[in-house]
Amino acid sequence: MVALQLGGAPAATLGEVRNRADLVIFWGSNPADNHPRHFARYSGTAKGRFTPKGRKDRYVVVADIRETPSMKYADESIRVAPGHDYEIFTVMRMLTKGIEVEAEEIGGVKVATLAALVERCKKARMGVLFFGQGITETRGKHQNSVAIYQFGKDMNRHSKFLTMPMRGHYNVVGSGNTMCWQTGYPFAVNFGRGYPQFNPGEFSVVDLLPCRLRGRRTGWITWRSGCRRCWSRPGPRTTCRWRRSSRGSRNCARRRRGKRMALSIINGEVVDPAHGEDRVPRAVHIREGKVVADAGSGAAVIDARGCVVMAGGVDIHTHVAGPKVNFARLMTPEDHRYDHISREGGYERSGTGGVAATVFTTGYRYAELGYTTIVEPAVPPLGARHAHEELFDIPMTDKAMFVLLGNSEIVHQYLEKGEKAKLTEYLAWIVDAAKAYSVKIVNPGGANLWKYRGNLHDLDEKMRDFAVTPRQIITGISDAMTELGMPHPLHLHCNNLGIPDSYKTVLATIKALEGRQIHLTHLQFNSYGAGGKRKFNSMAPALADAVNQNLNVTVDVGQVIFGKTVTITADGPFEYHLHQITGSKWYNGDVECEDGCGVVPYDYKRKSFVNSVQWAAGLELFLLIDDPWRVYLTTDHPNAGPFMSYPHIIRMLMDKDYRREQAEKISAEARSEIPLKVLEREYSLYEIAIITRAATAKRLGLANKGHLGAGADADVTIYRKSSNYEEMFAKPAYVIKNGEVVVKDGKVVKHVEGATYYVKPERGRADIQADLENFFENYYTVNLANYPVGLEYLRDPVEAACGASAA
Amino acid sequence: MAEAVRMEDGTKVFENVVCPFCATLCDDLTVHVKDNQVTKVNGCNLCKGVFLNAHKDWTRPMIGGEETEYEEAVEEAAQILARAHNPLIFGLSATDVEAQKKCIELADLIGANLDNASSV
Repeated sequence: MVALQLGGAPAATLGEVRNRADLVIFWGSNPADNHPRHFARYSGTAKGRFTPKGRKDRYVVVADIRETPSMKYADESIRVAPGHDYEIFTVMRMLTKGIEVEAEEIGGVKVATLAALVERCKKARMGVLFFGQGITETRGKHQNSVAIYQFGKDMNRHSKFLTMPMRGHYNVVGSGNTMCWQTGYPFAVNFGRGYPQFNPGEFSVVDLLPCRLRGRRTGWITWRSGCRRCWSRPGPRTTCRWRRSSRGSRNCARRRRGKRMALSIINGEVVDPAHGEDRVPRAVHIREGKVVADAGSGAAVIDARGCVVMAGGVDIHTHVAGPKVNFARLMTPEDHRYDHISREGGYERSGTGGVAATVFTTGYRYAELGYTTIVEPAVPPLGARHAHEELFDIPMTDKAMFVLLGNSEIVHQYLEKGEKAKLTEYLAWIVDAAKAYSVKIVNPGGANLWKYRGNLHDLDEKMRDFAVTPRQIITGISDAMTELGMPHPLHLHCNNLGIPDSYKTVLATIKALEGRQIHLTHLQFNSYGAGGKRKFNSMAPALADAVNQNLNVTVDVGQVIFGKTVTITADGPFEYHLHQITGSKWYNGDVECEDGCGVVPYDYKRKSFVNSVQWAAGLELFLLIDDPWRVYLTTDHPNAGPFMSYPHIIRMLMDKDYRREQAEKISAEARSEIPLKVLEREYSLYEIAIITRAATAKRLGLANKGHLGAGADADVTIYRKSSNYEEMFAKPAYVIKNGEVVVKDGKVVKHVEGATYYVKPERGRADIQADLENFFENYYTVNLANYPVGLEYLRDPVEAACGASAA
Repeated sequence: MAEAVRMEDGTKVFENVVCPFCATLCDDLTVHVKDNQVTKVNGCNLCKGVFLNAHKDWTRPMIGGEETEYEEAVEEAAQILARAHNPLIFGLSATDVEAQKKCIELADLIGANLDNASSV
């Protein structure tokens, strides 16, 4: 865990090992005794898509300090001296890098043996190193794991190589994950100051318990001996605050409806672009959680004099939940240290912040910005259960998520055979199985090739293992979604993201779509050319023209914010590229049969030419795309920056002097290339309301969101007018969620839970049951029967209209 | 999650059961249950050890090993926590996510230390 925090790791789900690994190394782990079916299910005799002969397709190495039963199954056994693993892996890293090693023997192993193993790793199609307690619980501890992860990262220069721990018994992985999304840290947390603090040398059971108590198999222990350093706040605080919580049951519909209070907001200026209202002085009435024509007598009144009244914000693209977001939290402990919210600050749950904030912090902070609906856009279907567990915990906002299908091998299989009806049926099944709202594609085809260290760079380039091109994936899935009548069209992260000339891919993609509805996400990251002295420039103006001309296209920007952040994407090859150029921490997590995943912390520097071009490109998209209904405010949180920067971006868009001032601070070379119009246009309040709620809700197909007409959900934000738009949007006077006041003066005053939106597309276009059974039997590690996510995982589930019912 | 799919001679047969023991996480088990006792499971030796010996009933509230009522057990637990200066909630690894969430909420409420098996 500490090793992961320190540097990340190249890893994957076990199905990838089953399907692809041709070299498997067990180091300090003895699966024959401790994980008896590991060999048969994943790593030894298991047959997979590219390992059809099972054991014969794999070379298995077992390294341990003694003869173990696992060695019987191995092609090669290596005996090492106890306590020398750190040295051995340091030497293996040297050998990987071609550095000469003078010694003949290290840690009881001949250097020649290690050199042969390194050569074998380099030649592997996909190599995996599993390490066990022989590594993690011997001298060197987490440094042993760090050395192994570093070895794995080095090896990725030569071959696809994964390094993964054989985790311990029971749900130790689950407890680390749950702690991480709720506190920011996977273990050793202390709440004594009212918020989570992490210190493995101080707050872990090893440090807190006297030795004699260690090892007791009790589920939980309360330690009562007095502690000189009293972390608890003084005074009795347990029983007096002990109260029967209504949050006992997982789903309580009563809670969602709130108090059903009637409320009238008077004297405010309503900005409701969905109804063409621009600062119209009218009252907004609320009853039973809905906007109504008349609240009736006895309604509470909010005097919104001097304020602007808008619908609650709707964020169309923000990475807030799911396995890879949780890895980002895990890998940024230093970031949580300086930013937290405390129970003493009036929040019902404490949490840590930073760019990859915990679930409670995320919900509170969105609400404090006046956002009431957020969409997690990138969850591999296999990660859906985990993502819903996190979304369940995010308070204050309504939520939805998209599933990733662009690198799904089932999709590729159907496309290859031209089975359109079956593809559509599969989409309907998987969207329902994941309880998703729509579909996203990330680097179609490319992330699949990354499983063998490859990528795709052209729309018509065929994949390695399937006779399928990105063009076919994009149009095929888009057509299937149209057929199903999904409320939000295909959400696309284009190929070649983040590299020079990526704008050409976008133009080709728009052309390939031939008028199909499409949402191009975080377009800023795909708006680069290879021109200029540095062979890197912004081609955002060309993309803005293309968007202006193609009415089927909507985009969100992904505006770069200077400062430290963490990048999280399913685009595995891109993250490796970023890791290579920055040397930053790197986590890779390929998902069997489905998609990729990478996490790399990143620092956008104001004085960096490239980062400045990226910053300017975002603004160019905002200001050169004419129709605000087709360009939305995002930072691709946290990829280009945290969502907390929205007020700053709004000020830059509304206030050209402020924007100029900001532009003065960037790299002069990048500044000189910004087109003049970008410096002149100013967004109006009306346009801001469009790009932050009206248009996003409309594009998502959420009919009751993003407007203040009768029948809309009573999610309302009241901003106090100011000429400093950043202050105005950073601190709403009131935020109303479902008819209840939840934020006052930019501060949460009431903890509420939001609903989760999902769709259930109509089934019955083709029979795919046999295909699914076959696919799960042969390529997945999860049983088909255990794969779908039940509604009990969703907080207050709301089925959105889809297909014929939407019409 | 798995449901009882059929009855065989008074025995409930559950299919596609997930084994909670080792990290291999096999989810293809068939578990036979008769009179609230697991009688058969088709897993590995470790798995059999877990399922076939999972007979001790931990569902009754107890204080110091003596059976009692839930209200009293909860009150006693609350008293213990209230008296603690520096409580530690440890474990979480032998339970499911829903229970883990409740443990974290409790630690948050009382200002406790919280740790799991990653540390040992």
